[in-house]
Amino acid sequence: MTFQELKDLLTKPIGAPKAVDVSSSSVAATPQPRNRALTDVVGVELGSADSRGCPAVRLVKKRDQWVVKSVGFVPPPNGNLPASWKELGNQPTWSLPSDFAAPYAALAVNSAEQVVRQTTKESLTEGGKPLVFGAPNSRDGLRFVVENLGESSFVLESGLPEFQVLWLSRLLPEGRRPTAASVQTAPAAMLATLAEQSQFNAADGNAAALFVTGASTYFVGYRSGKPVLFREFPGVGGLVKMRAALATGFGMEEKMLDEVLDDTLIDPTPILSPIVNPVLRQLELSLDYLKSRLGVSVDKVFLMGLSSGTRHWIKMSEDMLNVKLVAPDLFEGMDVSSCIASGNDALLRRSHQFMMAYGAARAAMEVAE
Amino acid sequence: MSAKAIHLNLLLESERLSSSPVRPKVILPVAAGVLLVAMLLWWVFLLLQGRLDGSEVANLRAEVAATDKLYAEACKLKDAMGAAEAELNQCKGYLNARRAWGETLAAVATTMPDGIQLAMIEIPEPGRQNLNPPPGVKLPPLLGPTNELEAVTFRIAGKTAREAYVFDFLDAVKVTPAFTNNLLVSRKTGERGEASPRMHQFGQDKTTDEGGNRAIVFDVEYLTTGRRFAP
Repeated sequence: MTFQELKDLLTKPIGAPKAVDVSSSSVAATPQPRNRALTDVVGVELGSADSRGCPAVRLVKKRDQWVVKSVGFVPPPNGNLPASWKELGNQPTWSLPSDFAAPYAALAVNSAEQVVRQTTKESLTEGGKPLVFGAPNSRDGLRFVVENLGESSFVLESGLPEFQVLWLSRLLPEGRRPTAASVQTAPAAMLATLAEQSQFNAADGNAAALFVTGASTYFVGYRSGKPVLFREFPGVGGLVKMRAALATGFGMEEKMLDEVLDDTLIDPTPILSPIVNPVLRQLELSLDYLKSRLGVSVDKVFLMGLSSGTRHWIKMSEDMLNVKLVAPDLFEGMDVSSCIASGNDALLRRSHQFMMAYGAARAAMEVAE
Repeated sequence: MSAKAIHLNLLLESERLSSSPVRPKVILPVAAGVLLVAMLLWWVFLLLQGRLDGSEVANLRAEVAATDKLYAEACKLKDAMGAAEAELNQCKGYLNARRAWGETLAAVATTMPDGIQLAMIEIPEPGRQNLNPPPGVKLPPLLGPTNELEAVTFRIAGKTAREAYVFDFLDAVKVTPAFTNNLLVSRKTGERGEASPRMHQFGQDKTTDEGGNRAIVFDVEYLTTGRRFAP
């Protein structure tokens, strides 16, 4: 560290963060690879609709073995994600329980102002500013990251308002475990959930996945492990809408839905069909596009994000589309002994409720090239 | 083998905070502060130590000064004591150096033949000492002996008609304890000093009596063992 760097470090103001202009070439000129892989990260999903709190997964990499050290729901921070620059002054700090006190945290954020979409490079380079892949860019107060979708002209854009990223970067205070090492939108975080799946890797990374999140349902097509197609199903909604509809249909509280949906004696198909059918129709269109336009042919689709009732979805998909849906265990092949020892095996059985949190942690632990 | 996970991280490296409680921007000021406080404490300690040492030095100096005074007084007293002791020893010396002449003088009366007429019995005073006065300066002579041993002589002179009376007397002196205890009655010259007795005069008198006879005069001096002025 040079003297100037040391001086800058010591004179860096602590307090309300200033807006960072990442648009200058000196800041965003080159991607910012991490030289050393993180081996102990807690992934947390902020803004989930779960009344139990924020889903959290502490993931540890020990040599070649993945260890799920803790899973659970942590109390949310004492403050909401700001909706404007004015609200940035109210910066809360957040402490996670000791079970989740890893050195670093990866945050998967559900924000009403988030941008996650497939778009074109041309639309992002309007105004002549160079686009940097794999590192934050800035446009009109939005901080976004761009990733190529295969060899097409399409790119995947994921972004949050600048003030929200700053708020999130200071949420976990310095000098205390954990501090934020990664901030992603929740839909971007979910893309990493398949990386350790044996069926995914057995297909050489050629797969399709249906991600059912709280707010939306997404279709992602992968080729050689990388996304080549990203679609948000229009008009379908997500788990919040689905579960509300199911609760109304069954005439019961939402918290009882998991048991009902997993009950083999109850056939929820009549109530489930109006919810699932639109998804399956969109799935069919997406699979056709994936195969005909992008040349990716899959024999199964990964169903991600459902904590219950997956067998009904699988059956309905086979019946309607003759498409095999598989809902893998999120922590397949990982050491979950410490979670079992802590008495969290019930949570492990519904592992998909931690999809965003796990995806965020897994993505943050990826070694940059 | 696992696939590569896509990571769309919106956080800049510069926005990443350290979870370690030990951070340079905390540790360095703290360390500087601690160092400063430690230095200040050290200086205060040295200051106090210096003052303490100073007061100790002052106390020691006062003690030394007091000791000097006492020492001077002690020296003075010692000198006075030495002088007094010397005076005392001198007095003792004189006391011890006294010679008893009573027996000897009584023996003269009993051993002196009748034919001798005593003219003189003398115990001469020792010569006055004049201890090397500076040239041109006449100092009064000092009294008292300058040596521990003072030579004392016994001189007897008289007249007689016959020489034999003198020889009788001299022989009587040789054998009479009252003389031999005090006088060196038969020492020859060369024998540790002068001879004793030493005859100053022994012969006819220059003058004659009424009948025209000349008497025989004698003057003999005996050495003694001297006076020893030892305390």
